[in-house]
Amino acid sequence: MAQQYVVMKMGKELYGAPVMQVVSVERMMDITPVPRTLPFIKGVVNLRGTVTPVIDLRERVGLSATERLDSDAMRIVIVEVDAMLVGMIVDSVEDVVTVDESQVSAPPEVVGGLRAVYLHGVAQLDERLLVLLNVNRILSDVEVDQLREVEKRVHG
Amino acid sequence: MDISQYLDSFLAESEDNLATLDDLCLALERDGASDDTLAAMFRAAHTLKGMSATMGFMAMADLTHHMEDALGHIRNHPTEFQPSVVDTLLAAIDALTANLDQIRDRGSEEGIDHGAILQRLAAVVEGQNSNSEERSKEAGPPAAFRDRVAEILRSGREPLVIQVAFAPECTMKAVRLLMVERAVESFGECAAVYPDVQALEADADASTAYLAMLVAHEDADALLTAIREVSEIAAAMVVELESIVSASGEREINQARQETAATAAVATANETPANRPAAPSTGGKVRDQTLRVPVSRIDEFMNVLSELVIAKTRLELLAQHGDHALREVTEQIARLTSSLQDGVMQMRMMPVESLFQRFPRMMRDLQKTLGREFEFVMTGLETEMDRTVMDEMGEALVHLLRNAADHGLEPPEVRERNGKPRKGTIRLSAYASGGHVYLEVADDGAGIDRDRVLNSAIGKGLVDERSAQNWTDAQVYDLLFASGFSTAEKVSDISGRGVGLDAVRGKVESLGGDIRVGSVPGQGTTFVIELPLTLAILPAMLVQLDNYIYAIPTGSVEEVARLSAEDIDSIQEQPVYRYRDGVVPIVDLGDRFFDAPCRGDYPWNAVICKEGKRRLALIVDDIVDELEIVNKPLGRYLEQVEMFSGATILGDGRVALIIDVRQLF
Repeated sequence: MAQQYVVMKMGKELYGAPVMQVVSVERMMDITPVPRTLPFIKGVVNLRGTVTPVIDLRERVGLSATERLDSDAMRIVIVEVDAMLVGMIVDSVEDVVTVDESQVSAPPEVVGGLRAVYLHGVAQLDERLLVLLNVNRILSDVEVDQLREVEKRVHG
Repeated sequence: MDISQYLDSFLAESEDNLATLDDLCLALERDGASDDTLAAMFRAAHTLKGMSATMGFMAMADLTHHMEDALGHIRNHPTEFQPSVVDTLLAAIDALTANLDQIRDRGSEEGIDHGAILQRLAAVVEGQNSNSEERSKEAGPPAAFRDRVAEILRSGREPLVIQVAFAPECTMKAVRLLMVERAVESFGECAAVYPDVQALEADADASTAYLAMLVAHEDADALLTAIREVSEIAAAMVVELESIVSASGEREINQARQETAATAAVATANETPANRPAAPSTGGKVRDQTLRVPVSRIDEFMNVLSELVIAKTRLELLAQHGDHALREVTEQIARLTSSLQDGVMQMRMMPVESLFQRFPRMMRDLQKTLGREFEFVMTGLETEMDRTVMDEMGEALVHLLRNAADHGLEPPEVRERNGKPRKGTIRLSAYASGGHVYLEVADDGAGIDRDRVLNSAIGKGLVDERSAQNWTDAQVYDLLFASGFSTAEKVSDISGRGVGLDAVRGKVESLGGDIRVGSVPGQGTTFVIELPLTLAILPAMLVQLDNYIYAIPTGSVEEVARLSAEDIDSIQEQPVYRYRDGVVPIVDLGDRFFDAPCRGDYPWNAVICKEGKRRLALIVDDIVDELEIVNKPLGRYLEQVEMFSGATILGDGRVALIIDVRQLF
């Protein structure tokens, strides 16, 4: 089974999101911050009339917050999971590639500080490594995280 | 065939049909086995059966099929109708609803077993069938055939029933029957045959067959001759209808004959066939054509519209410096946009009927479980409400109705002792007035006992005994909604009320509404819920904080003030604002949101907010505007966010969060 992935760049690494889950790729837009929520939730944007939350994918998956060049290349990748729209900020969007399931190997425990649960696997792409994201997991775990955050605030 | 694309409409329509069946069951119980009711039930059950079979949901199709059987027997033996049968039918509807729910959730019927309910339905059929089975032995055609004949009669036509006897030496009766059918074909439609060809093939002992023909009765002789010409047919004769249809059916025959005669008379009098009613039983009500559209699609449309509004605003800015023609076009576009917006808003409105329709069933069940006797009356079913508001109100109404039945009404014996009719009344009404929709739940029970409520509240430490003595009734009743009041276990026994009323008030207020209660001792209690017509558009005050705009619903705003140093005191080091004859706590929104206080030099810009009797002074950088905003949900991903109830898109395309003031207290 071959799957298509949108290749996104963060730092020097390449990450893939299943093309079936990607609704659109947007240029950066005005983000309205939502106070008192998780640090990686950057706020909400007006996506053609729909109020859509935006997260920083870098922070979400635990990549080191290295200086990001605030360039024109930055994109918001809008993904849809269970009829839920969420935008993910990435450094840039490169390409769409086809990856055969046989090329995918299980993710190592830790890839550059990224928690393995958020990964679907790793695939060799030409000379480079493409890290395939488990988008469902990245989005669904947010409730658990939010609860943890609330707890932290309550109990100090 | 890929059926998944039809699943949504299948689910929606089946839901409608089940709701209809539910309603009709109650009508059946109330009015007895009337033909109109049963015919409507048949239609709904039949549609359900057809659709579920097409979709491949066989458990559902099978159950509806058996339900149809049961309905058939009720229809054909109206005199034997027992209200207890309704329980069985309702149980079947419940099973179907559960079945449908599973299909919706899991997409399959896996593990569904309707065994128990099928047995109960079978018992209905057998119980009423046993008599007719016996009759059929003595008088020829069996129940199924009689049923069919009765049905034709009810539709206003009189079939010609013919008994055909096979010759004793006839060996291939099925073939002969086919030949008979062929022979009568040219005379008219053969509506029913008994036994049918398959049954005849299986049953070699059968000596007679019956046909119900829809033909002109003058042709009877020619018809009989034609049949007799088929070889190995010993005899053919016309059977009197009265001997076919059961005793109870006889009345129907007469009635049907009279009705047909009456219709015919009218038709003759008018002399124009066009005036003839299409079917004798249709009531004159013409239904508006409707189109089923998913709410999500309307919301999408709404989103596009708000984009259009934003584009229009920009265009207006540009046009200010343009020529006359451009300004004219811009104005026209503005008008069209706003009427489009009104139109979509209108589409989101639905009659409350769709919310209310489940209550009669619930109230019926409550009568039985609570041992109360009451009439449940609903009015204003056509009142329209925003769909979102309506969906949110379901639970609250259930609470209030349950309360009315459980605590509002006295037990029947008590009512009789107090000289009231044994049967109470619970009334659920809806009406619209001045930009609001009102929902009212009223009972004619004992009313609220002021002293008990007070004593209980004093006992809970909610009120101080001395200050409470001068309270008005309204103040006392208000205690019912206090949150500490309902959680105490025994309260409902003492006060007669209090189950979850704080939750009801919370829900109503979160929707921007209000709830009040009125009561007359000995005469009853009325709860009135006031709701905004729509949640999609609400007036709001825009405030600025840092570089961002936030919206505060005007419903929560009491007034706007500029605070100077002398207005401010402090209590336990917390700043408070002296307001009227009390003090109001001050909340610095900048502090609350970003840990960056916005109070600097006086005067401070403050928005005095209220929730119930409590007040709060919100300090903001600036107060920008007051206007109508379109409320958009933040969505599931942000549902844990508490301080904001939604967001709106401003004229310049930016998003502004809507502050949920209640969360700031």
